[in-house]
Amino acid sequence: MSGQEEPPSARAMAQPGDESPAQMGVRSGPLGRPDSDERASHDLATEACAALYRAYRAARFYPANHPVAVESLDALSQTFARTLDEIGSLKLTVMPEAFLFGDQAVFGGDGIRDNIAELMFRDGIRSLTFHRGIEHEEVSEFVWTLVRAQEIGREEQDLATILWDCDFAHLDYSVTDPLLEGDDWEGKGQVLERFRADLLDKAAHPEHIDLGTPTATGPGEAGSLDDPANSIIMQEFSSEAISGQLENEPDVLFEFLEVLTEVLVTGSTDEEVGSASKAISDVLSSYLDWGEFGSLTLAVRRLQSISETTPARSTEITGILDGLASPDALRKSIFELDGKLAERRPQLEELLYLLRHAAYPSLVELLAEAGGKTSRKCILNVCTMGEGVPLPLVTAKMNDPRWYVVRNMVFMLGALGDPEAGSHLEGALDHPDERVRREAVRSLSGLGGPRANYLITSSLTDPAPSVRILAARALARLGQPDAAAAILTQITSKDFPGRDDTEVEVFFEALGEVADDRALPFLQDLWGGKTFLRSKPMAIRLGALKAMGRMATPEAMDILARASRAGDEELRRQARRSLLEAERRAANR
Amino acid sequence: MSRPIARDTATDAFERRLVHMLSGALRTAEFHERDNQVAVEGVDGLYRALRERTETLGATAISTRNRHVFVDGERVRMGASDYLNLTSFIKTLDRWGVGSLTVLPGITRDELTAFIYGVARGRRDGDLATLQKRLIRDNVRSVELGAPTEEGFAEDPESLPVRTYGSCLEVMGELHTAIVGNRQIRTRRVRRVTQSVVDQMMRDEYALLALTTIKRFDDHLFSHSTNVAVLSVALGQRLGLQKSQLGELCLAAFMHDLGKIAVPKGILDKPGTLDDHEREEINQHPIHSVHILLNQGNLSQSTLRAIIGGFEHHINFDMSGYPLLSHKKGLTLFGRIITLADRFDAISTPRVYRETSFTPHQAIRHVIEHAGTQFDPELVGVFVRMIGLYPPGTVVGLSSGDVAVSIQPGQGDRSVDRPLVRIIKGNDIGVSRDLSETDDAGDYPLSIVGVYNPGNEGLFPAMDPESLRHF
Repeated sequence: MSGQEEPPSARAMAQPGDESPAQMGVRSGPLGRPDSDERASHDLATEACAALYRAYRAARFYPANHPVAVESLDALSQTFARTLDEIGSLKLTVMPEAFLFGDQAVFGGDGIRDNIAELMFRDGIRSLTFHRGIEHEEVSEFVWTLVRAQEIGREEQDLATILWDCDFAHLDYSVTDPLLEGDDWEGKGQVLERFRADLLDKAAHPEHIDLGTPTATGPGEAGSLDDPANSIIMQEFSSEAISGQLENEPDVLFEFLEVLTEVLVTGSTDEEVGSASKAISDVLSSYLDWGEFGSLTLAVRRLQSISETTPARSTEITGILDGLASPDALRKSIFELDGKLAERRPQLEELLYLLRHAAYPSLVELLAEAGGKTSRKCILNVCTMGEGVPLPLVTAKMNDPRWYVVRNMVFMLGALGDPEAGSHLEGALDHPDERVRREAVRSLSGLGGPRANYLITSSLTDPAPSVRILAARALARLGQPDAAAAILTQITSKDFPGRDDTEVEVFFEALGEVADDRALPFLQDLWGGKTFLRSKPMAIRLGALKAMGRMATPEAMDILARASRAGDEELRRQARRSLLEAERRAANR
Repeated sequence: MSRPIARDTATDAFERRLVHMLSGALRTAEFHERDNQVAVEGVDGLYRALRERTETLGATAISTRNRHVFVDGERVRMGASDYLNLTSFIKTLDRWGVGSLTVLPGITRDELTAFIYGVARGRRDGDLATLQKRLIRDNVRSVELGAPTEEGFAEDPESLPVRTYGSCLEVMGELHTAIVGNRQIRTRRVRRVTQSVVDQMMRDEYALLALTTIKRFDDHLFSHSTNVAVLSVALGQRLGLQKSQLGELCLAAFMHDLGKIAVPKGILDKPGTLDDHEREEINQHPIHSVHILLNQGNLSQSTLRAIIGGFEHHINFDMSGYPLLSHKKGLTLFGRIITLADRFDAISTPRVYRETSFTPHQAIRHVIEHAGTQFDPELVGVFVRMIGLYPPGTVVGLSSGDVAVSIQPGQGDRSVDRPLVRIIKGNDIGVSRDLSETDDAGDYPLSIVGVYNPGNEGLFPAMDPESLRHF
């Protein structure tokens, strides 16, 4: 039909791969121009094929819910409905590169990208018939089946086998005889020939066969329904129950896994055991990939149990579990917790704990990479449950050049709560990155103990204000009197008045938590404010009052009482607040 | 066309119920007379439903296409549990060559009863014209019948079963060669032929079942694998499995014994008793099956089911058998089906290591006797109803003195011991006799009085040689 007007539907939408029927190389068939009725049908068929092609192309290049894919499927359904209302059934003969309607080409030609006729012909489809009443659901499934057929491994499936599974109500297709293709093999044809000969001989000449003597049978005997032994035959069965059995069976992959574990135990050759091990690894990886942690946990428990009861297979099982617990295997599952899948954390933690001996190195590795709170929490929970991750795995990472890796190891050391971790944290306090030093202070404060306290105290002189602030807060929380002198030294140092207000406030608060009356002379001087050369900054004077409010000793309260009559309004107000704080604390002692 | 408007759920449910009632009435009419209480209630319910619908909406057309049912052109959505009823209904219409029936407003109860019994009681010799004449004779004016719409299959339906069966043998031969040569199996081709088995089974289950009576011991693996596939699909269909499930079952059953290829032929075909080592070799074949399929890669769901079926097919219902299990607690439905089909075919097949094999009748007796131990008793009941107490291929002596071969079981559950037979010796050779037919006094004029065992001579094809003319 080259040169004819393009059908409206072909102009309606511009989409990837759009070609009009004319552009698609549609040409008149061998019989030349059809009459007007035939031509109308031919045009409808051409339009339907064009719509099918457009929908297929859109489905290939866009996700199913993309407007272009959705609209082109809608358009295809509409075109089919219109066409089938007119002509009843649309029967297309599939040629190597074209569809014929009758003997007229309605789609195809050389040079069409993603030629659907070629795809169908390749897979043995020789005709397609769409029937009136075809549903949108069927149209959509058909188009997506064509897309799938491009993507599957052809040794396993092809378009014909997939179409068969679809079981369309309004679409018939014919397929070439499966025996027309295939490899030549020794004996090809002979099997069928022997079968044919046997069949024909026995069916045609039964009288040649010696039948021997019959065994008697009759009413009430084994061959009769009257025999009580045959009562089972008449028992009712429920097809719903059978369907239910199939639906309620554990998923096929888990059944498969059960078989594989049996083969692992009973396989007689290295090859059998090896292939079962590999397949088990594949199944477990799939479960992990899909987030099926429940099934995976069951499978791991079973393998661990087999390893205990069948020591001869412990090497294979160790290999399987090591593979499952590798960083590459676990990465996705753990880091997905930081997205929408946070609710899976408890199941994943249960699984990882089960795998912990194989998984600890991976978890340490992944902790180094963990960016989100949930994934870090998951790893830390697993690494600190029970006996916890072996310390050397963590400390081995302390010299990693990546600051965040060291930071995470420092975090882990703190979470482990092992007193021996302190000595490893000491080095972290000298790390060039202040974020690592901050984490070290946090971890040390979690560990506690004289050595940890000493190290935290030493961080009061850290060059970074944030580390000093953390150290001061940690000491305040720990209530370490030994730290008072060090804090006081800082407070009275020359540079202290020039520090940030927050740091000044935190140091005074810390001093208030840990100091005793020996600090009062210094504090009194500080709030009083006069020095030889100039006044103390207001932040220092207020901080000293706050510290005394926290000390809450009688002497401190006396000083605060006096201070509450100070000439400066701001100092008076702070002194009164601190006095109230001191009284409250004293009452609670 | 916009997307189909969502249909009223109540309408869907009504149409579904209508098809169920029609199917139920037809099945009941096969076994019970018109005055039977169950039959009366069935027809009454259907009559009320049809009256209600035709008075409201006018003539109601019920049609089938590609094994789907439509009411007034709308597909009736069926669930898995409806499948058996649906299949039975479609087969009943197919038997007569009916593609659609239209019930007109004003239908009377008598007309409906006559229609139901006219359709249900027609035997295997019917066609659409015969049925139409019968209905006119019975004054059924308010039901119009139509022929099926064009199907996509252009092949001669009579030659299809043999072609399908032969294709299975060929493909199994190709599989064998590929595995021995350590080459990739073309699962796609296996799928094609197993899908055609399912298609054939859905059209006419007995045509393929008849072919399973050809048991060759020189190509034992080929014919056994095919037979187990056919028997499994037939049983699965009776159990109400859906088409895609039957496809997976057929593939699994067809490949269940691939592990035998790894067992030395000298052991497989050894005449006489096996020693312990040889027995152990045989017992490993389910594990070999797993290994062979694992090595193929491409582990799709259907391949996984094939692996499971292959592994389970020698494990009994009570979990005895082999391979010995370390922890597995139960068998899959497919495993139980394949076990039953495998055992039935195996014991009724002539083998070089035994002088005589079981007759199909003895094999079915064995199956019944071991229900609950070797076999799932529920499946046994369905299996026996499917192939009868004298399964196709059984050579029987008749009360007339003739010798006949069983072709298919008698129609209806109460006729499992009265098959349709074809006479092979005596008078009227080649003539078929339905042993479930009664005379005017209600007695059976012809009965089975004995069973022959042709032994290793082989069994008889349970088919009319005429049907092989295209082969």
